[in-house]
Amino acid sequence: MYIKFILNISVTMKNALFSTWRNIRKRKLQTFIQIGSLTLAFAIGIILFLSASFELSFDHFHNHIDRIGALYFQSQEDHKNNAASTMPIPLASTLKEELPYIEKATRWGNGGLVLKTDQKEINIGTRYVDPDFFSIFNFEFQIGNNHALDDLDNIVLTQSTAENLIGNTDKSIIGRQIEVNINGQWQNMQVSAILKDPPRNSSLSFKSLLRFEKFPNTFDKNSWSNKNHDVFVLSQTPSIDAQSFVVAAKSFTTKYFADDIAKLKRDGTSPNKDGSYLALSLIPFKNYHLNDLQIGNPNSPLLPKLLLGLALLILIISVSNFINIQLVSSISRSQEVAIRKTLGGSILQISVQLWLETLICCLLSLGLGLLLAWSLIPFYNSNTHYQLAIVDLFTWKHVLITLFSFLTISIVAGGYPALRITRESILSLVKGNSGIRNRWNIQRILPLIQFTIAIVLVVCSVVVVLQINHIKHLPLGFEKQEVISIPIGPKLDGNQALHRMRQASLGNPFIMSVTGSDINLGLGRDGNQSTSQLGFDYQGKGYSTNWQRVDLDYFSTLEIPLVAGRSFSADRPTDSTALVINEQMATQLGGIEHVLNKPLPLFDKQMTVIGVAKDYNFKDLKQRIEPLSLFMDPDLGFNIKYILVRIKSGNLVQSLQEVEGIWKTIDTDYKNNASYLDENTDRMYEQEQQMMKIISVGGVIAVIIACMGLFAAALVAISARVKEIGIRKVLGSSIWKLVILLSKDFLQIVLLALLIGLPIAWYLSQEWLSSFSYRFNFHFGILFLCALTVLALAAITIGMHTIKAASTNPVNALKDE
Amino acid sequence: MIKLENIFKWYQVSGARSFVLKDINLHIEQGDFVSIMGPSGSGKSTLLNVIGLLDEPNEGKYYFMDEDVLALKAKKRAALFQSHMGYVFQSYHLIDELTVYENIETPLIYKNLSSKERKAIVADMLDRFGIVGKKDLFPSQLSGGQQQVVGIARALAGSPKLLLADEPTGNLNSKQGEHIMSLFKQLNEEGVTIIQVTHSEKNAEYGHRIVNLLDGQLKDI
Repeated sequence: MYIKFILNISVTMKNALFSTWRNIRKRKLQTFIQIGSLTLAFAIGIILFLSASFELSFDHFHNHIDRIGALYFQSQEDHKNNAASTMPIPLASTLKEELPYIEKATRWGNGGLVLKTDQKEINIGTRYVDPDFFSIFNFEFQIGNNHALDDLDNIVLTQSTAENLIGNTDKSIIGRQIEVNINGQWQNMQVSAILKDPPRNSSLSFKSLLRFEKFPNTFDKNSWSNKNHDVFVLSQTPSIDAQSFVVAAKSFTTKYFADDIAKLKRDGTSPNKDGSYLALSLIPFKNYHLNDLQIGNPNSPLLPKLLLGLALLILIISVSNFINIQLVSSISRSQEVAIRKTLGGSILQISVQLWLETLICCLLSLGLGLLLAWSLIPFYNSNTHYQLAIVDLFTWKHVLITLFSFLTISIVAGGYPALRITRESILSLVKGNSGIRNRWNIQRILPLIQFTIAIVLVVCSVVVVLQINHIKHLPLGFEKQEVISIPIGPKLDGNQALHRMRQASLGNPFIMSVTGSDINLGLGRDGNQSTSQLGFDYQGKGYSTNWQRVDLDYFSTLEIPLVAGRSFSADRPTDSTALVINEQMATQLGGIEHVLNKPLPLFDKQMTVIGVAKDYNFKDLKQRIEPLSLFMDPDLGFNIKYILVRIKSGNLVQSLQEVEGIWKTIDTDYKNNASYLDENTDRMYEQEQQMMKIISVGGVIAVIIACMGLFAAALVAISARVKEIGIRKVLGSSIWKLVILLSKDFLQIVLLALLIGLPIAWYLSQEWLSSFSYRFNFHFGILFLCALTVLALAAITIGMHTIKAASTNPVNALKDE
Repeated sequence: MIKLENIFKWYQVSGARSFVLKDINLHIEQGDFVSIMGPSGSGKSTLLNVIGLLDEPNEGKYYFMDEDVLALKAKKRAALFQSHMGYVFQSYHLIDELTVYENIETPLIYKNLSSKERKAIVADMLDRFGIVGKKDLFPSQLSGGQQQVVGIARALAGSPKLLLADEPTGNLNSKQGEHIMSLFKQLNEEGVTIIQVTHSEKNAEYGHRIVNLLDGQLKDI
């Protein structure tokens, strides 16, 4: 019995293989479309699935991920949620002492270092943390243990840093003394551990770790108002919860932030939902990579959904294709099915046989799809920030998901057509007037779905492309094409470097002017745009402003016009305590005439407003321009970090070389990191540009597959109407009249799809655009043009068939057997 | 009216020519009623298709109303066909999705007649063939004989000079067949030239002349 069963199966399999092969050879075009579109969809699906699962895998290597949280302050500003992750220095330790809910806490500060041994000197980024860091997070030690930062003068290196600096990662490195330059000061430190490089799917990345006590930007270690670093905590409870933390931290917040809360109240800001004006809250670390609070340079939480959604849509389109074509093939095989039925085959037996054939086609597509994905991944990686590899697919979880999706697809794609044909009665099959031929509802619905999806994707990708281009080409309010920005690096003193650069550039024919700033225009300060917020009181009311340290000639170098007053001048020593503010700042303080030449209490000093500059975008263009104060006082603790050089128009490449040449005489280990400002501003929109690429490629592929589907559907309809075409020709119809007759049905379907799809597309693009402050002029002409393009493509696709069918000799169609 | 000279038609079968029509010479005058007879595979239908411009010979000359048809351009040939010929099939070939009325109307639409003219002609046809009561029915609701009557009505709607019929009674019972043949006879008396392909001696007798075909060649009796 058992053996017979096995034998049966193997015979069925063999039959299926043979008949699949024969069918492929008989219907080359159809099989090509079926396998081709499924292959394409599998490949795209695999790549998008891997991307999404990479996004979702972030930070999950930490054992206590459910207990970790990243702190932030929540308040309401202009009726908008305002989240700021920067914390004052005493907070972490105080919180740990006073709040039993928090078991461990570490601060996390950004900075740069120069490391030096006898042989080599390297320039790297570093993070300043507390000893708790290692017991909160699980970064793998190569050598060393959790006590690596117990000593103040210890330094932890990553594997790549150690290899770069010392050349090996032996045990002998431990205890080795190296010289470390923090903010211009050399000191001796001891290497205490080597960590493996943080994995790619880690939100926290670093090249070396130092004790937070070494953090340079701390001008008052006990101040609760100077906020300049992030804090991560580990809860006592098995899983951390933002709500219960906010409740637990409420008295803590009111105790230490009474001043801030009073200010917020006085300024009439609305309270948070729980009634507090300032709440200390946290993001569970498992959501850290994909939060929508703009904390920690996250990706949008929509991204993985978007990737998976796109993959699903493309799969739906191509499975529809498959079913559609399978149904046509079934019609021409009705004779075969009828014979099998008269020979006693049950519906199930015949269905299984037909389904097996589909399974073979699907397997073939999956194999080819894997191959295609494998060959596309290097190209995909180079165009996005992903570092995917096809082997990522071969983990248990991924294999199971892939197998499950594959079986679902093959059952839907093959099972439905098989059941449809086998359930027809023998007589109708033999006569060839089975219901499939007449009742082709499903063959109308599938293209309808396909084209609805396709038009939505097309419109969305067009909108994304237009919006990103709009932003890239918006005037930012300052000159960006002919200005070179040079990062000074941690080794040199900014003010001195700027001074020397200015001296060296005097009289150079390529250089018009030189100035400096503490932020690089185009990128926020270390990717975090909230750090430069400063609150102050003026005439009994609280205000907040962004601030920027600049130097002489700043406004002329960047071509930012002044609306009122004057710029900083070298001839007036009092200008060192002077301010230039932007129009937004002047407006919030009651207008230009109210503040010009008046003192403002910033940084516990009275600083006189000497000028008002025209607004310019110092942040990215998703946001409106905010109030900004610019000063050049070098004694406030904010050093020049970038030198900005305005070149004379003309040869940009040669000018860059000239400027680099001069800079090399000042900074001897310069690393070719000077760039024109417009490159910097472009870099700001990398995430959007990636999304743009993925969506627009997805859109194009969706349209291609949908057209393949339409091509197949036209084939179905026309094969069912061969006789009618013949009769009409014999009766004297011209070819064009036939083409119109045959195309009409399909164009109606496409039109209906446009009718359904366009409002959806319109709604989705409006939703996405609303996250931008500066939007391109969304014109309904765009919808119209997209619709027209899709319609034209569909018409061409159908036309290829109908023209051919209409031109064939009617004699063949009308032969009386 | 029709003059065929040395018509050859063949298929290339593994290098050798397999002849379907071999040196056919045939004259048919206006008002004639010709029956083409012969066993299966003798080339009857192919000959009819050549005459009806649905198929082209490999060699030979074909004059239709003194015009060298094979030298004409496709467009002109189609126009010639449209204005002068009507075709009746063994299996009727009505369009299943259209009613009797619409089936008869279809060729008139292709001739770009106005709807008024079409209405008049279709009404005339329905009346003439006694199928007024069936005008709103679909082909599947009719018997074979009735369907063939509709097929003939459709073929005649364009008032052709030549009616070509490929086994018009092949799918019908004898009573229906007789009805169709008497219709043909009546049409011929009204001046329509008819060429029919048939198996049945009895039906062939309705014509004035019988052309016998064997293995693609004409055989005079």
